[in-house]
Amino acid sequence: MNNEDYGYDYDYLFKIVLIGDSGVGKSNLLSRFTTNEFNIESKSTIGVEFATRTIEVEGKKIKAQIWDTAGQERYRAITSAYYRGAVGALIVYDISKSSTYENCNHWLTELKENADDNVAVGLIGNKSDLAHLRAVPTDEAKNFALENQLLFTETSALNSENVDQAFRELITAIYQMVSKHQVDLGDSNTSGATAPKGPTISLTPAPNENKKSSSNNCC
Amino acid sequence: MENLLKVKDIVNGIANNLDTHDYLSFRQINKEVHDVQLSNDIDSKIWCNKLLLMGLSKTETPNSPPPIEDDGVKEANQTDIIDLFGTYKYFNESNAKEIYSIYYRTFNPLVTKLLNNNYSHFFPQQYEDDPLNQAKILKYIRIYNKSCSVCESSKFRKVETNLNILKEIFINSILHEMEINYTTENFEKAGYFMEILLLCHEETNAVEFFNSKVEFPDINKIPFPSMSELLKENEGTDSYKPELDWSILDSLIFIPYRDFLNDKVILIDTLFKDHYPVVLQFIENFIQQTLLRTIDQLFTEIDEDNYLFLNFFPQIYFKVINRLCDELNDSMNGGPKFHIAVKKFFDVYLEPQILNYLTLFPNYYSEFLNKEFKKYQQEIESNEVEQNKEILNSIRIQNEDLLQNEDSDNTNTNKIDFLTSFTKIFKLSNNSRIHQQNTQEQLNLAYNLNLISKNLQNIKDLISLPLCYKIFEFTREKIEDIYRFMVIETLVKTINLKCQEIFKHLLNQLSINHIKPAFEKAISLLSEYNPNDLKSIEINVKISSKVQPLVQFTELINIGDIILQMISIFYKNELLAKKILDKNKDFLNDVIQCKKSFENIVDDYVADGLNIGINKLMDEIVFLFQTVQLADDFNPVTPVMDIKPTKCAIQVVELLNNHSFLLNGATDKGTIDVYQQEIGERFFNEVVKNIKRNMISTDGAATMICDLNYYYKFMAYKLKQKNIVPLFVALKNIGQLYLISGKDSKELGRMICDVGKFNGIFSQEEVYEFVQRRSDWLRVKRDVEKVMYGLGMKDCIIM
Repeated sequence: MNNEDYGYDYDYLFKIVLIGDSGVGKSNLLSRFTTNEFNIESKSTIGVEFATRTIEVEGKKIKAQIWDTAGQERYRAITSAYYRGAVGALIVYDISKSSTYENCNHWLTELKENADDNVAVGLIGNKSDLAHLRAVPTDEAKNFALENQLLFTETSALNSENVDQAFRELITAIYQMVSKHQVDLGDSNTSGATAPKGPTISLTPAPNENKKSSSNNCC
Repeated sequence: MENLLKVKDIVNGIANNLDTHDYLSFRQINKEVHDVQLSNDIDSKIWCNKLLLMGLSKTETPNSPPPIEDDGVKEANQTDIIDLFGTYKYFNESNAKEIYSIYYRTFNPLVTKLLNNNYSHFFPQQYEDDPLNQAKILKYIRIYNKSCSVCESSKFRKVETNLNILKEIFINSILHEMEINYTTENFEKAGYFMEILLLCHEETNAVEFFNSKVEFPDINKIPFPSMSELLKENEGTDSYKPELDWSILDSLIFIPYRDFLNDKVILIDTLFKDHYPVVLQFIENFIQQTLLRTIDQLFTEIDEDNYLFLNFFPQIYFKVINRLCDELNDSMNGGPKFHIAVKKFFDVYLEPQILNYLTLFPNYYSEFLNKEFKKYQQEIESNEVEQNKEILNSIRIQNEDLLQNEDSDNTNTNKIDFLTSFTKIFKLSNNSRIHQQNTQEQLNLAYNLNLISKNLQNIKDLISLPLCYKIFEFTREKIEDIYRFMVIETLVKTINLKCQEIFKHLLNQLSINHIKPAFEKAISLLSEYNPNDLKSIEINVKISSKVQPLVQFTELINIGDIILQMISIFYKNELLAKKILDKNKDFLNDVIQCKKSFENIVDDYVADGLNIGINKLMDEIVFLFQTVQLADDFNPVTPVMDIKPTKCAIQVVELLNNHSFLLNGATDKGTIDVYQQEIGERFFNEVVKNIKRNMISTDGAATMICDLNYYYKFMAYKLKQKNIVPLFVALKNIGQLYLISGKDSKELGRMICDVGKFNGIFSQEEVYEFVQRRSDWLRVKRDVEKVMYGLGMKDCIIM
């Protein structure tokens, strides 16, 4: 079965949201990951921006559709819309500004309230290039991540350090969860028992995947 | 009788009327007369008077030592007759008698000879062959004789008469000698006699003699060339820079005249030295008798329609100055300011010619420009006709098969239509036309579109930079020519006015005969252009190129801007720098008004054209919104897999990008800002309309936001017009209205009330209108309106 037959150049599409306080470097992390660009004079994001990048995980082409949010949205209805259907999230703080780290708890809570239960979450301490101004100890953040079952990476969008890695880790984690989930889905379907919990549609497998699974079901 | 001598007045009266010899005897007549009536005081006064009559000066201070020592007086006997007047210029009361006696002893014998008509060996022996000193002696005798003018008047008059006779004989012999020497070209010797003549104050005779010897060049003998001979033809027929064959004029006129003058300058120096000024008078005569008539002949006999005069007068004038003044030898007779004085003469005598030139030239110049611009206009028009024929032919060749299927008679008559009727085509509406078109009409349309497209490409040729440059250069040279007359002080005011007049002609001609027709043509082509017509062509036609009307028009703007800059530079370098105009004093001057109105004309055309251009651009954008923006772009049937700007948004931004920066570098920043802001603002309105034209689902919202982000990015990072960016920020926020889940309808209602969320760009009513474009509007309407109206305005939460 060939992907191109259906006009898609990927096997999976994951929606990922970037959240965190204003000014921690979300947009630059995104542009570093998707286009390898960094804009020192970037303006603060208004509303939401989108970017995509396709990477390969375990032989599968995975398209990450990343929603870059403003970080200062006041309307719950809007933030809720951002989280809708997201399978992954990166909570970003600025290692040189402790208040942005302290707010991570708030972002995590908001994420939990709005997003799917299975959403994969990574904690990102950005601006690691500002080591001389560090205000958040790595261990402290690491512990926080551990406690909350979050991935953790310190990155620098400025010098590219760990940026790719952070996104890859998150995407891989999502992939693993999805493929496991699909097996579960397949099992439950054959048994004809309980419908899967949670909005599985948000995991958005590419149509060929759907087809594959359905054909699997049939034969 | 003896008592008479006791009367002082009588004695004085007698004494005053006696000649020198008799007076000396009379004073000795008796003791009383000698000591009282004619005491030393009175006696000395009598001698003083005589010396004063001779023009000597009396020194008054009694204590000052007498200017002549006793020894000096005694030696005076040996003083030469020639040196006497040089030696004894002063006297005082105490030595008056002694000094007079010296003159008396020397001159009385000569006077006696004159009285006796005894002229043989008249002059002292040593001066018998020395006419120069003889002339001086004659002069001295006359001076000495004046000492007798009061006391012995009859004798004085006799001496005067005889002296005149002697002098006349003397002068005649001098003239005779001069004639002999001049004829034998012994000018040095002739000059010697001239000096004597001048010493005798015979200036009139001297000048008459010289004038009788000088012959001015004969104009009638000059073989004046014809006009065609005089013009240099080999340079090509550049009407801007016709050239004279100066060698002809030089060899016929200027060099011979210069040599003639220099010859005479040397002669005058030899004859007159610096004794009497003759050379300036001579040159003045030459100007009057020869030069003026030569120039007159040049400009009347060989000139056709004043062509030579209007094109070459300044050069000819300065050629005259150069050859006949600057190249003249220095003249001892003319003194150190000789050349300056000669220049003044030329200026004075040629002033009427200069004024005539200054009067006639500006109109001639204006006519010339008029002709040149019209010529260019005609060239463009004939090129256009030529090009149209080519287009027609190429379309016919490309579609021969199609045409053969048509009724052939019809084709022939329709052929004429090709050239005459393309306005009709554009009156047909877009939709109906396609159905109505038969092949012939299609061809017609193709032809006309090609025509317009070609014409648009030709827009930039409507104003010719090379032509303008040529004309500016021509004007600059002409003003420079005229400016050279500035050295003539009396003309300064006139020259300034005339240069200003020329500049005004330049602006008028440029604007009326070049800029105006060009922009009017360009604007009419722009307004006829309909980009959508190009898309409706179905037949086999190669459209010459993708027409971007603004691109073409901005090239014209660019050229217009260059011309404005050229005018500014010209104004600064030619008018201000040369002080033809004083910016501070003459700010009300009509030149400045003229320049301003020229700039305004260009600005207005630019504004009109840009306005039309922006209209066309917006037409194209609207066309894209109507044809490329699909209904399911923002309201997809299946969930959107890939969030990215729509094809429509990409094409629209490309269009904006292609047109928004056309003016950069073509005109001033102010115009560019206005242009870009206008585009930004009008595009914003089109986006608003486009949103309202579509249905947007929560799924499609991301795509719409993506489009709006894409527009925002263009405005914020490329167009960078500060007051436009907020409009697109507001649009981004509008996009969020569609992202919100239908379940959150109440918060949607609150957002509508939160006008601040949209930067005040949109009113509550407008936001409400936007929300109505949600695909689930009917379902959320109730909740939304409940929030909006149910709670009332005051209850709206401003978060």
